[in-house]
Parts: sequence; structure tokens; C-alpha cells
Amino acid sequence: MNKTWLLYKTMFRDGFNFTFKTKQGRKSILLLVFICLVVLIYMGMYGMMAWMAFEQGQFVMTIRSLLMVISVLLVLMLMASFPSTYYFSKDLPILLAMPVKSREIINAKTLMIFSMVGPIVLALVVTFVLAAAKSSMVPALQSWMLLIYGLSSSVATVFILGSLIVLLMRFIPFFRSKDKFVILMGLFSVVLVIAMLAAVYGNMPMDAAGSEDDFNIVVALGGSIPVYLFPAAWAAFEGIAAPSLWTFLLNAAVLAASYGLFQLLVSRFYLVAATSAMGSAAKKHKDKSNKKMSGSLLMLFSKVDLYELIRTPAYLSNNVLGAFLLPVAFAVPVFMTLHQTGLDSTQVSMLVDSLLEQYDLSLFWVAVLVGMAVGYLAGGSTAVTQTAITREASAGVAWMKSIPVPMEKQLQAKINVALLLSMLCSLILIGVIVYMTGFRWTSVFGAILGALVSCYLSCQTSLLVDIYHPKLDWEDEMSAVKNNLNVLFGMMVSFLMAVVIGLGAWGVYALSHSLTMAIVAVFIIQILLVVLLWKVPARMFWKYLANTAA
Amino acid sequence: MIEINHVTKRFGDKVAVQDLTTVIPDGTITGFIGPNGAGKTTTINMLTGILRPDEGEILLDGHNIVTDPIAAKKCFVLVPDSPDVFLRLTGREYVQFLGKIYEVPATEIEERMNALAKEFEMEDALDEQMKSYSHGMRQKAIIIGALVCDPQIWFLDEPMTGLDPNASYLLKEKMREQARKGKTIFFSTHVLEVAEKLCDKILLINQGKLRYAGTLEGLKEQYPDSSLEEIFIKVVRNE
Repeated sequence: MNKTWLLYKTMFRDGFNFTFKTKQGRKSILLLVFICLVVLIYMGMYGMMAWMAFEQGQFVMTIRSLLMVISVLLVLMLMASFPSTYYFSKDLPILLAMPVKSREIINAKTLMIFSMVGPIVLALVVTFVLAAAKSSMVPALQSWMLLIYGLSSSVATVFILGSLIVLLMRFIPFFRSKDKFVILMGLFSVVLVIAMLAAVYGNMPMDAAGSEDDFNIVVALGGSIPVYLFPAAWAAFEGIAAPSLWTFLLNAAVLAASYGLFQLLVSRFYLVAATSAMGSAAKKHKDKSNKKMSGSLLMLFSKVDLYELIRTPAYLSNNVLGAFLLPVAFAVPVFMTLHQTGLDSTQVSMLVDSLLEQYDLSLFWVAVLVGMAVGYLAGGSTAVTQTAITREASAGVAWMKSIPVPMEKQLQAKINVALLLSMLCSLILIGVIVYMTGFRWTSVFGAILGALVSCYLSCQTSLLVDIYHPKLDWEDEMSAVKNNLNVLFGMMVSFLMAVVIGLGAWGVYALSHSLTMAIVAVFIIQILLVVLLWKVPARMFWKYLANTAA
Repeated sequence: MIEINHVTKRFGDKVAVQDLTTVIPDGTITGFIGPNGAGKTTTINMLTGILRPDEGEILLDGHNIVTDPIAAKKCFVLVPDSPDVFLRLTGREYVQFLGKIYEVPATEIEERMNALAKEFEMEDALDEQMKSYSHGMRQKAIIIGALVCDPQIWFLDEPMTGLDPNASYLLKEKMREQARKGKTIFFSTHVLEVAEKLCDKILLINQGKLRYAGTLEGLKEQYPDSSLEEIFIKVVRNE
């Protein structure tokens, strides 16, 4: 009897806790539904833009970009999920000891990979297919080809990338250390983002209609990636742009060859490398210092939380390095755009001054507003408090409850650490803005003040999300922070709060007809919210985690 | 002293611990034994503030664990059955951290830690991250942390798990030493021989109810010519 499907179902149930039978499972389903709704909205927007591009006769360029973007997304997703599923998963020794063929284990894990990357790819392809089908400029045949080749090229890309990873893991032992791999992944992501942004903004036509919205960025990105890097995407592009028997055979051959190559390499090299892959192992070097554990209790707890973040590769790459992706993502386009347009900070500064005069705004309060926006973005991007309780796991939560330290202090320490990282991120962003607009003490002080308040509020509310719905049963640190819906949910909550606060500000503006008053109102509302929420985390902790034990 | 008065804990419809009442005096080693799922860990979790009882009260040296939690928690240190916390700290950092929480002066932390590390043969490993330790070494690090804090009450949940014979012997000696100093030692175990040799008092729990609370001699009087293991099986099977 083929046990692939049985293994896959078990791995799926173990990996994704979607069940109506438990409270945690129901919460996970609810969050999944929420995420699907958000994705639906975004896909709707992209679908509309794609349709407009097709109506303007930009079918070929748009499809090329789509295929390239899917390929890059697959690179990122597979680098994150493939090694952890195939090599660093703790189930392998247990599975190998069972009367199960190694091929069945491999096939089940492959299905798991497709479960992780499949929905996103499917959503993208289907969105564009529907846009093409709706467009009067795209023949029906090409819409069908887009569906078939869009999906088949994605499957082929997974197999090709999987084959590369299998080879890497087999022949380069460095990668078999989970800790090193995770840190490398984090650095690779940052470098990739810089490269992608430089490519996009280096290629973005400055007279592009609709300027730099998401869709044009995607199109520019896709257009800047050499197509020969992804043979499956190239074959699909040929098949969609000029469908024929030859392109059909080409795509079929690419799919068959990639599958065959993957099966060959996996059957030869996977188990040898996987059984020698180390789990997460800490450094053996001595680290003597008597002064580290000093200071007040609050300082001590903050230090311990920070050490855990920095010393755990999974947290370092996801929570710490990930935070600096945002300023990088902001800084690169700014520098590239300024370079291309030839504008300097003096000119921008003069432009800003004239706008301030025109709208009767004070520089300080505008800087506060910019700081608040930056703070919200930074607070959401670090994902530190969104996983503060999750990272403790059940044993850590039980420990927190058993020690003679008030919960308020322990949770405050977690907010402090998140605030530190968010403010670092904010300061970099503010630095870029200051570089653009010229240095003025008023604007720097205002921006920092604004960022401080919204960073704090963002970290506070994100902590509440994780207290309400922590993911406490995880196998390793990576699974604690990866695919953690709390991160997205925390961002959604921050966004909703910004909308609510914005509505309050609009109300003030409607009454006072003063933009400055509206900004002041936003600032004061946030401070009030910080004060009102001050004791809520501890109360929520005892309400929702009272029965959590190791 | 530990006072447990009519403590009950429910999880939905299931009653995990029912109307538990007992007093554990200072200077004693009390063994808490029972089959799997009997309610041992739930009881220890309630005693240490990890879970709140649905009914009854728990007093640790006169402090109510629910209404006066900080004062109550200052009286004890817990050695949990799963030593997988703070794995990215070195053993030294963990002990220093715990010592600060329990307000032990820095010089005393260092002195006690170094002495205990030598006894438990952990000197070389103390400056490595606990992630690199084996289960037994992590257990030792947790035990060293608890001993450095020198609590009045010591809760241990399955403490012998993963310890080598030397460390196991050392831990038992430490437990006796603490009890001689007038401290209260309360530990759960499946290893009945250890309970037999070590404990002044035995609490036997099954299906959430306390079946016996008293000395080992008293228990053996009820079941003459039986080892603790045989008594345990008889009591459990009679339910």
C-alpha cells in the first residue's frame, strides 16, 4: 500500500493546525479565512490592473513580468521552506525507523512543499488568467495557455530549484548546519531585496504613467530579470506569447525533465545529506562575562529577550534582519530616483518649504506626522512583539508564571526590546528622509518623537495579538516565526488602528479646518491609546493564558 | 510550609484535581506519586502559580499563591520536568539571571554557582549555550540555578529524568541537605525506589484524588509485606 498520502496528511495536520475540534485549531481557521480575504482584495486589485494593461495591448510584457516575479517568489519561498522540510525537520529519524519507503517519505515532503508554495502561485496565476479572459484584447487560447503553462512552469521551477538545493546540501556541508543556513538565508534575502530594487528603479521609466504604484513596480521588476535564469518560465513565456505544437512540446519536456532530474537527485543524494544534517546547535565557544546579567530586573529581562533574538538564527533572520529590509526597501528606490532625476536635497528642501507655506503647515508637526507613519511601518515590520509569547513556547509561558516577577514587568521588557529594534529601523528611515530633504533640527526631533509614539503603540498592540493567539507548540524556532499568522494579523491590526486614528483626525480637520490641528489630534490620540493600553497586556495574559502549562 | 486546602481544578468537564487537602511541614521531603494523568503535574502547576485553582486555596509559607503571588513565589523555586527554557543563554548567564530574580547578592551567586558547578561537574560547560547541553546537563543547570537561589520551598517535577547516576546521587544528597536545613522539598516522581529511600512523607494521587497522605511507614502498615511499588499498583488498581 502506498503510504505517501497517509504521510502527507499527517505532516499537513502536524504543520497546519486547521481543525474545528480544538480552540486553537478554530482560531487558526479563522485567521486563515481572514488572510484569504485580504489576499482576495489584493488579487482583485492586481487583477484589475492586469486587465487594464491587457486592454492597452501590454499582454506579452505583463505576462513575462508575471512569470519572472513568480519565479523569484518561488526562489525566496523554497529557500525558506525546502531545507526546513527536507533536512532540518525532526520527523525524519522517526519516519526512517518506520516500515515506510524512503520514496514515500520524499513524495510526502514534496507534497508538503507544494502545499506551502502552491496557494500563492495559484492565486497569482488565476488572477491573471481571469484578467486575460475578461480582456477583449487577449485571445481565449492565450488565456488557456497562461493557465496551463503558468502552473506547469511553476511546478517545473519548484523541481529545478529543489534539485539545486539537494545538490548544495549534498556537496557543500556548510549548508547542512541549520543555524548557518538560516543566517545565510537572512542575509541572502536582504541582498536580494537590494538587488531587485536596484534593478527595478534602475529600469523604471521616469515618465511612466501612473508612476510608481505596485503594479508598475512588478512589471518593471519582471522586465529587469534575465529570462534565461529561469528556463521553465522562459518556456512558459514562449508557449503563451506564441502558442504552437513546438512550444507545447517544449513545456512538456521542461516539466518532464525537471521532474526526472529532481527524482534522480533526490533518490541518490537526499538521504545521505539529510541524515547528516545537524539540527540547531549552539556555539561551543566560551562566552565568559560576569557583567552581562547586571542592571535592574526590567533591564535584565530586556537583555535576556534580546540575547534570545540575536543568538537564535531563526529569530535573527526573521525578526531582526527582517526589520532592516524595510529601510533598505525604502532607501534604494530613493537613492536611485534621486540619482536619475538629478535632484539634490537643497531643491527638495525648497519644494517642501513652499508646500508648507502653501498649506499653512508647521515643519515640526509635518515631521511628527512623517515620523508616526515611519513608526507604524517599522513597528509592524520587526515582528518582535507579534511573536513575543509564541517564542516562549508552553515551557517559557509556564516559567513566566512561576517566577516572583510581576507579569507587567516581564511584558514591558518584551515591548522595550521590540521598541529598540523598531526605533533603530525608524531612525534609518528618518535618516534617509533627512538626506533627501536636508538636515533641520526641528524636523529630526519631530520625526523621532512621532516615530517613538507610533512604534510604541504598534509594539503594544502587536503584543496583544500574540497574547490572544500564541502558537506555543512548535518543534523548532523557525516554525515558531515562519508562517506565523500573528505577524500578518499584527500588521492588519496596526493598519486598522491607523484607519481609526485617521478618521479621528479627519473629524478634527472637519471641525477646525486646520491640518496642523489634525496632526496634533492624531499625536494626542496615540498617546492616549498608549496610556489606556498600558495595563491591558498583563490583564489579557492572565485571561487567555491562565491555563497554559508546559 | 505548604498548605493545600480543598483545591480543585477542572479543564472543561474533566476534573483534573478534586478537593485536595494536605499540609507539608518544613524540613521534610515529600514525594508526590501517582500514575500517568493522575494530576501530579496539574497540582504542581497550581502550587507554583502556573495554573489557578478553580476552588480552594494554596498557602506557601503563609502567602496565598493567587492573592499574593509575588510574595508566595519568592518562597520557592521550581525545577520543571522539561528543562528546555533559555537555551540560548549560557549556563552561567541562566544562573545569574535566576539569582537576580530571587534577589541573591551577586557575590553569593558567583560563589555558590562555582561550588555547585564543581560538584555537578559542569565547570567546563557553564560558559556554553544551554542549547548545546544534553538533557541531563540542562537538568543540572536548572538544579544549580535553583540551589543558588536557596529557596525555602523546592518544587521538583520528575527531577531524576535524564540524570546520570552520579548526578542523581548528588541531587538526592542535596535534597536531604536542604531538608536538614529546614527547607521543604516537594517532588513528583515515577521512580518509586527513590521515593521509598528519600521521602519523609508520601502523597499518592490517582484520578485527581488524594488516595494517601502520610509517612511511608504508615502506608506499609496498611499494606504489610509489600514494597512501595506493590502498594502503588494495589491502590491504583483498586480504583
